[in-house]
Amino acid sequence: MKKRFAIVMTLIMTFSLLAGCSSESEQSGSAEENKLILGIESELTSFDVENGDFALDFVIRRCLYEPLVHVDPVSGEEEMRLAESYTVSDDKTVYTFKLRPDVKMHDGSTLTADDVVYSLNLTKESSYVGKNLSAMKQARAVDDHTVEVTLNAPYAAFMKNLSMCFVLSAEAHRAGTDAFNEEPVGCGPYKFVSYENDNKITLEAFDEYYRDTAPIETIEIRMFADTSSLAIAMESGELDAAAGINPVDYENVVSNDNIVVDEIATTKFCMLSMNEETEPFNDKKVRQAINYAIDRQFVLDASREGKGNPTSLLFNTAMTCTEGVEEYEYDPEKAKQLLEEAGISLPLTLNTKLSTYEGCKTEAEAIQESLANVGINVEIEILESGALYGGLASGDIPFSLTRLGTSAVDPDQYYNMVSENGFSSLNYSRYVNDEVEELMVQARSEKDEEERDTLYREALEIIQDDAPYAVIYEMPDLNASVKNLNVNWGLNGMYYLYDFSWK
Amino acid sequence: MENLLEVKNLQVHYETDKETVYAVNGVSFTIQNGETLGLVGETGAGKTTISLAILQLLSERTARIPKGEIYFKGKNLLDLGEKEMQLIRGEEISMIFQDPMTALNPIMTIGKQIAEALRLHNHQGLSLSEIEEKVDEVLKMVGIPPERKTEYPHQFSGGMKQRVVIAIALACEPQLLIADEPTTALDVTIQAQVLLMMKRLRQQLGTSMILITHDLGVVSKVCDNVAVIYAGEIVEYGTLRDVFSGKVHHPYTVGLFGSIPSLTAKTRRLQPIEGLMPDPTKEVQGCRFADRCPHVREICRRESPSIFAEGSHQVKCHLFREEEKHA
Amino acid sequence: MYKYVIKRVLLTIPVLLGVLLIVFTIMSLTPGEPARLILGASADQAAIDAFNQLHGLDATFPERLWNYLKDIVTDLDFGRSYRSDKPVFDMILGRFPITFMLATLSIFFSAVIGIVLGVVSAVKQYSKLDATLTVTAMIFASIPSFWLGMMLILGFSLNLHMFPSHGADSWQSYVLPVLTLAVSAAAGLLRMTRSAMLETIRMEYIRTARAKGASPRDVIYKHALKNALLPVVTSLGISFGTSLGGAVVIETVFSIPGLGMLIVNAIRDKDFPLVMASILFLAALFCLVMLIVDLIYAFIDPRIKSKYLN
Repeated sequence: MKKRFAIVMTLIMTFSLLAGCSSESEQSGSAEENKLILGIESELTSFDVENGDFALDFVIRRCLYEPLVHVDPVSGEEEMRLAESYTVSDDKTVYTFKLRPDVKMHDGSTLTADDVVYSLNLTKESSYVGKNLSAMKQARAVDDHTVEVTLNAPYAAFMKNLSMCFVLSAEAHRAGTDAFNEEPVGCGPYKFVSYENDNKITLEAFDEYYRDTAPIETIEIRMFADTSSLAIAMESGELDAAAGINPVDYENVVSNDNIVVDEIATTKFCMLSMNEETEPFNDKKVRQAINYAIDRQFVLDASREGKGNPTSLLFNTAMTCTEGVEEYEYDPEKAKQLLEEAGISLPLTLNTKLSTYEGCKTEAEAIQESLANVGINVEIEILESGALYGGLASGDIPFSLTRLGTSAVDPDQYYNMVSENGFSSLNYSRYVNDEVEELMVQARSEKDEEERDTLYREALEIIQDDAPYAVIYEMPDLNASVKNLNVNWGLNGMYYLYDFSWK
Repeated sequence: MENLLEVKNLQVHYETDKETVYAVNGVSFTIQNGETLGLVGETGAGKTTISLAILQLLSERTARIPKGEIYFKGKNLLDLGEKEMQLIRGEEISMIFQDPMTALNPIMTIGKQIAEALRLHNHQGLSLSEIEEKVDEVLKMVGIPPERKTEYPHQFSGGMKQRVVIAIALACEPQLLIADEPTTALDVTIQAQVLLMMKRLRQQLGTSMILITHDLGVVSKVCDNVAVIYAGEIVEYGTLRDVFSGKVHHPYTVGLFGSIPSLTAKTRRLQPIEGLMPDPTKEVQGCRFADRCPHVREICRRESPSIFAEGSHQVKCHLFREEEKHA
Repeated sequence: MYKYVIKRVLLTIPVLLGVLLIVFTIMSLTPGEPARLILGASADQAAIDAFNQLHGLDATFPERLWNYLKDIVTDLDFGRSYRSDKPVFDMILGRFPITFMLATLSIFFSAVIGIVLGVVSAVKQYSKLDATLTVTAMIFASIPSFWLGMMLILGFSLNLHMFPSHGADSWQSYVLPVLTLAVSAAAGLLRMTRSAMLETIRMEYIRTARAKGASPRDVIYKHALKNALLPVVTSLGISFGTSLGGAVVIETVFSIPGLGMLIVNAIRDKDFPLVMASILFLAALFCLVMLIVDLIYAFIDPRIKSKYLN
C-alpha cells in the first residue's frame, strides 16, 4: 500500500513539473521571440475580404490585406496606401486612383489594377460588407496601375467606407474560394502561416511589404468562446493582449501589475426601440417621457460597472455633428407630467423583448426599476435572437432592448434607423419623418464638410425631439495588454497589428 | 474409531445494531467416517447456519460464535485462520447449496468451474492437461458427457446443473460433504435420480455426508442418523430407526411426521403443529417449543429441558423425564 | 453473428431518418431566419432576399425537405454551411477529432477511477472508506460540470500556472477539461459499479466459489467483477454518448474548438446544412457505439452470445 502511494505521488509530481515547465516558457518568451499572442472573443468566418463581419474577420483583413486609402474614422484625415494618389471628377461621381507600382503580393507577384477591381466587385456583391460599397456603380481598370470607380451619386462618406475595403490577389482567388481560404494571398504586412484547430491563427511578417516590415515578427491569434475564458487567459499570462474584456472581469484583469487596460471608444450602443405604429408609442409624449424616466448612469453602473458613456443621442457622440444637441436628462417628474398630458392612466404595463444572444438582461432589469418609479411596469421577455430580429423586421414588436453598432463612424450609418427604407432592417421603431428623410439624403451627397455637419445636426435635433428611440449608453471596448507592449487600438475596433511593437 | 466431525455446544448469534438473533443455541453431534447424518427441521431452524459455521462461511460482519467447538479430524476448526480454512474447503469438506439455478457462475464454462476446484487444491502439481483429464473423469462420474464441459450453465437443465454442482463438490474427493437441501429445487423425478447418484458416489468414494432437508422421504432413503432441529436446538437425535420408529419422540417430531404410521403400537394421533417458531431475537427461558406443544406443562416454561437418552436415541423434553420418574 | 451486425447496421437507417426529420422540422418551425441571423441586424431586405434565394430558403417546407433528401441520396451531398460556405462534412471532420479525443479520454479515466473505486467501495462495504467514497461520489455527481471546470481553471491555470486555461494545442490543454468530464462521469460509474458489485457478491455462485476454497480475493476478481461489469459496460456506452453532449459545455468553458461548439454556433445561426449534418453524424456515431457495446456485452456474457447466434 505504501509502495503504491509512493508511486502515485511521484507520478503526480513529475506530471506537475512537466506541466509547469512548458507553460511558463511559452508566456515569458513572447517579447524575446518578437511574437505577439493576441486573444480575441470572436469567431472567424473566412480569410478572404468579403465573407463575414465578425471583429476577427476585420482584424485579419488588416493584417493580410491593404485598403486603397486609410481614413481616420473621426477626423476624416486620409492616408494613402495602395493608392499613391487619386482625383475626383467635378460632379463627384468618378474617382480615379493611381496605384503604387511597387506593391508585392505574398506570392511574389505584383499588385495590379485587376486585383483592385476584382476585390471591389467581390466586396460589393457580398451580403456582409456590400453596404460599404453600396454607393459604387462600377469599378474598372483603366490600365495596369489605374482604377476608376464610378458612383451612383455623389456620396460624401465614400472614402471612409472605401478604407474598409481590402484588396486580395485576384489570380489566387479565381483559383477557387476553398483553396484561397487555405492559403490566402494579399499584400498586407503579414502573411498567412497556419490555421489550427479552428482556434489558432498564425501570421508572419511579410518582408517584402511595400512599407517598413512589421515590427512584430510573428502573430498568434487565439479565438475564445467567451469573455471570461479570455480574461482568465490574460490574467494567467497566457496572452500578451486581449481584445474584448468584459466589464465584469475588468477589476480582476487590471489589478494585475503587469497588465494595462485601455478603454477604446466604439460606435456600439444600447437602446430601446418604440414602435410608433403601436399604442402607446404612437404618442410622442410617451416616447419622450420614457427618455426622461430612465436613469442612464444607474443602468450603466448596474450592468457594466459604469464602463461606458451614458447618452440619449442616437448618433455617436464622437462625431462633431452631435455637438450642442440637447440630451434627455434624468427627470422622473417631467416624465410623469408628460404621461399625464398624454392621458396615460397609470400604472401602465409594457412588455419589452430582449434577445438571449445580446445579454442585455441586467440593463433591462435596471431600466425596469427606473420606469417603475414613474408608474410604468415593464415585463421582460427574452426571445431567441432569430425570433427577435424577425419580429423587429416585420414590425411586430412594440418595445425592444437591443445593442447595435456601426462599421464606419459616420452619421449616414444611422439612415436605415430613421427612414422608411429601413423598415425591414434597422428601423425598429418604424419612425418616419419627411424632414429628417430629406435632410439625411441631402447630407449624404453634400460635398462641403461643414455644411454636411450642419445638415446632420439639424436632422439629429428633430430626431431627438421625436424620440423614436431611447438610447441608453455607448459602450467602449476594453482591451488589455502587457506593459511592455506598444499598442494602438485605434477606434471602433479598427486597429492594425502592424502598429504594435515590443518596447 | 475417531469421530470425523464433532460439534460441541455450538452457539451462533447474528448481531446487528438493532438486535441479536439467537440462531443456534447449543448444538452437539458427531459424524463418523462414511456416515450420513440428516438434519431435519423447518426453515429458520438454524440448519444452514450450522453448516456454514462448520465451513466458517458465516457473514463476518454480523455472525458471532460465543461458545462451542467444531472438531474435524481432531482439530478445532474455529481456531483456524482463513488461509487454513481455504485449504480445507473444497478439499476435505465440501458444500453444495439448495438452488442449482443460481449456484453456478453464468459466464464461466462448467469445465472451468470444476477445474477451478481442482486447481485450488493442486497439491500434487498436476499439469493443465492432467487437470483436464480429471475434469472429464468427474463429469463422467456424475453422468454428464465430458464433451459438454465447454458449455455454459444456462445450457443445462436444472437436474444437470445440480449434477455439475455435485461434480464440483466431489472433484477433490472430500471426506465430508454438506448438502443443503440439494433436491428441494428439483422436480420429483429428477430428485430421485440425483439422490441415487449421490448415494452411489458416497459408496464409491466413502464420503461422509450431512444432508440438510425438510423432506422426511429423502431422509428415509439416504441417511444413517437423524437430528431434528427446532429453534436452533437439536430436540431429537438418533439412528434412522430410532427416529422413524422408536418408542418415544419429541412432540415436534411427531408433528413433523404427520401421517406416517409408526411401526409400534403406541401410535400418536395425527396432529398439525399450531403456531410458529419463537422470535429468535428474544432469549428464551424454558423450552422453546412450549408455545406450540400440545403437552406443555408448567415446568416447560420455567426450565430448559435436559436430554433423555435411551441408547443411541436422545430426546430433549420434560415429558420423558417425568415418565422416567414414573417408570 | 454477422447477420446480427448487418441487421443492426440496417436498423440504423430508419433511426437516422427519424432524427433527420425531427431536427429538420424543429429547425424549420422555430422562429428566426438564418439570413437575418447570419447577415446581422443591419442587413436590408434585398440582401436577405438574395440570401434566401441562394440557399433555397424561399421554397416550401416539403420542397426543402425533398431537395435535402434528394441531394443526400443521389450525391451524398450534405451541403455547405450558410455562414462559411465550406462543405459541412469537411467542417465536421475537421472539428471532430478533438471532441472525440476529449470524450474518449474522459470515458477512459472515468472508467478507471469509477470502476476501481466502485469495486473497492463494494468490497469494503460499511467501512469508513466506503462511506467516504459514496459521499464524495454523490458530491461530484451533483456538481455542475461547468462550475467544476471553472474552479479547476481558477486553481490550476490562474493561480498555479500548471495547465493552460484554453485551447487544444498541447497535451496539457486536455488535462483540465478531461478531468472535469471524467470526474462527473466517474461519480456515476462508481455508484453503478458499487451497486452492481454488491448485488453480484450476494449471488449464490459466489458462495459456491468460497465453498470450493477460493480466497475472497479470487472470488472478487474471477467471479464477481466480470459479472458485475455487464451493467457497467452498458452504462459506459451511454456515458460515451452523454460525454459527447457534455463536451459542448466543456468546450465553451475551456474554449476548445470541437464539434460541440460548432453545433451550438450552427444552431444559433440556424445554419441548416451544418446543424443537420452534425446531428446526423453524432446520431450515427452513437448508434455505432451502442452496437459495439452490445457486441462487447455478447462477448462477455455467453447467455447473450448464444441468443445472437441462434
